[in-house]
Amino acid sequence: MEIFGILWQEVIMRPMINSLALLYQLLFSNFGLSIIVFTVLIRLAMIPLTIRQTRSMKKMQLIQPRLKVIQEKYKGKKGDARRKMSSETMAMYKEAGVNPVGCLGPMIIQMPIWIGFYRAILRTMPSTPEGMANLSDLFYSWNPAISAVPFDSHFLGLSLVDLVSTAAMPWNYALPVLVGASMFLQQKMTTNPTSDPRQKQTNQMMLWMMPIMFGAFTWQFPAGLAVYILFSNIIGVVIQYYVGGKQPIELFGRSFLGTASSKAERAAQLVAEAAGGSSKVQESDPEELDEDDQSTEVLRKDSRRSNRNRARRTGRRTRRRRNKGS
Amino acid sequence: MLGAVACVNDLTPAGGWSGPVAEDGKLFIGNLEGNLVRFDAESNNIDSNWRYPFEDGLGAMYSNPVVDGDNIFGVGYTCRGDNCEGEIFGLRLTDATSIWGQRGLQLETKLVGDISISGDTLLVGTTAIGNEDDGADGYLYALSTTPETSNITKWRFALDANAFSGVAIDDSTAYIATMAGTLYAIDISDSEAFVSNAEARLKWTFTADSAIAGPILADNGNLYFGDLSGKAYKINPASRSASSDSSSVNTGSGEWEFDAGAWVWAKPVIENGVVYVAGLDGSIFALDAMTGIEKWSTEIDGQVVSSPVLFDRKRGETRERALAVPSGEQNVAVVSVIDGRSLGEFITNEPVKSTPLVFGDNLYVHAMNGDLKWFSVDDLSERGCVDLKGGGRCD
Repeated sequence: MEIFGILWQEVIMRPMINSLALLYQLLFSNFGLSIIVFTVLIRLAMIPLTIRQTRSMKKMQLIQPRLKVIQEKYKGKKGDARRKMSSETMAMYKEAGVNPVGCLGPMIIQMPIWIGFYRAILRTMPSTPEGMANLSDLFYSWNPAISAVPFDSHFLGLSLVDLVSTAAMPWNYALPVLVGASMFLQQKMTTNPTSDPRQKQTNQMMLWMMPIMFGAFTWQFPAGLAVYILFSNIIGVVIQYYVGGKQPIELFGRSFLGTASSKAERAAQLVAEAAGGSSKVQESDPEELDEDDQSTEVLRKDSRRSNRNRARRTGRRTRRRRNKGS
Repeated sequence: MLGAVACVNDLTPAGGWSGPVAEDGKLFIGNLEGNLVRFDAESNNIDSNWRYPFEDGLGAMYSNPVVDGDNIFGVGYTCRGDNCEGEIFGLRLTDATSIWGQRGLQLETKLVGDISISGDTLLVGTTAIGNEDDGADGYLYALSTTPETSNITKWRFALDANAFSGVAIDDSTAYIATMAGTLYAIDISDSEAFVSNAEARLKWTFTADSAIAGPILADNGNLYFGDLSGKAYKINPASRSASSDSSSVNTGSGEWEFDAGAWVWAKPVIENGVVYVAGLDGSIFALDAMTGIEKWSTEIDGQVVSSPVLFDRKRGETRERALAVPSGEQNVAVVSVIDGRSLGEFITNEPVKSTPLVFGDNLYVHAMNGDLKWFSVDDLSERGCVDLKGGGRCD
């Protein structure tokens, strides 16, 4: 257990605390700016993960019709048939180069960063004498910011170390609402569209529950952490918008932003959905099958690309398979 | 993230590091729950009937209590989130009853630094007062030590930041420093001129390179303290006035600064023209009090938060002057005042952040696990231990 404590301290806490302190010195002794710039840096460092997550999401979108076919094929069956369904589904994921839990990666990586950041804020601006004494042990010896302790925790009328619930009006209400709203927007942009009604229901619940829950939690967070989450969400939305191909953002029945082509594409999608997209799969509409074939082709190409990349990494050559369809 | 929510408790102080003081064969110590308790140094027992508050403690006590005549004074506080409740109490030594009625003066603030008493005035530094929206970031409070007085607060002086340093008194001047790095010299006399204008009490200020968190030592007309930039200072108040340069030491008046290389939190100790300064990183320096020039330096493991203590150690037929330095890692290191070489350790097996007390031929230590341990100052061996919370012998 001690090794985890040391790793946590050396890999997460000390780099975070020293970065925050150094940014504080560079940014006119303003801890709020230090938190915002630090958030931007973290989000920029995580762009490769965001891109992977978005690609994974798109691939998932593409295989949805085929997934539906498999689900329909085994609907109501039990025992061996269920196992067969699972293995077919997994085979399809493999062929498409999709990791069904791949989109959780960035979330999993973000969690220690969030928790670490929460701890870092509290430890960088300690409110107890022992907290302050312990802080000196966390500074790198070369960090000149050690002389600037205690840091000024005031930012735009907020005390960043105090709980949001104790902040002055309007911050005590505005921050939880802003955190919830920005999280909702980000969630909306990253939620996988699905034709499965049950999945759709779960997504819808998550879309509303998570922001409401976080909004409520924010009430009991130090204001500095709330500022971090808020800016992390805002930057996340911007990154997602660009990485996701400038897709329009739909809110309350209206479409915002997006390019002309992405808007047209989305409109076509909506028309198709309105025409009963899920039943088409069952009826095996030739046009839909063509679309399926196209998506399969895209996935195959992706799969071959990832195989080649893997081979390049491992230094092995892969035998090219001939595409029967071509 | 849910797990992280539970960590809001980091805002609550954890017990403090109050050290023992001795009076009439009894030791008075603030335990980790924030109760002031009494220990009989003859029977080696905690007096279960002498305790303040008798029920729940005040939370944390960081400073040592101060005995004045028949009374003892101290401070404690706790915070839940950023709501702090502090109490300055005055008790009768005989029965631990409050001299000011039911309880002491309660303030919504953090009370960290040492208190000082001059005549019938008790002085204590605070942080901002929670229920005062437009108040200062810290105050020097002057309270009446007269029992049963109806008006405990005599006056208060606004400071530019939190005061953790405690108060040092020399004649009619109080010295207090803040986390903004400002050292204040404040006239504490009962002059009529100050009745309606507390700000007129300010004599001069000095601005250190960084925050001043540790106590100030007033000795022989000079002040010694350290800051969080790692500097130790000697200031000569006699050479200062309101028009003095407040941001640099005046070497022509015998003032100096010394770079200790780490935060200086512990109160310096002075004897025979040598100032002993401890850095928070465990470094210890012996400096010439006149010039600030280093005589020797050494290092111990762990942080040094509280003041070291000088004592005589008997070795065979000779007595050797030594410095007992509490280590935040564990034990109390013993070093020679001659050259800083290690002379051994008082083995506490626990971190020590309070100032030890030499009383009789024992050294008493309040360890961070809540035990009071005592040792022979001669052979450094442990002689006993009591649990300051329950009062029983240590396990």
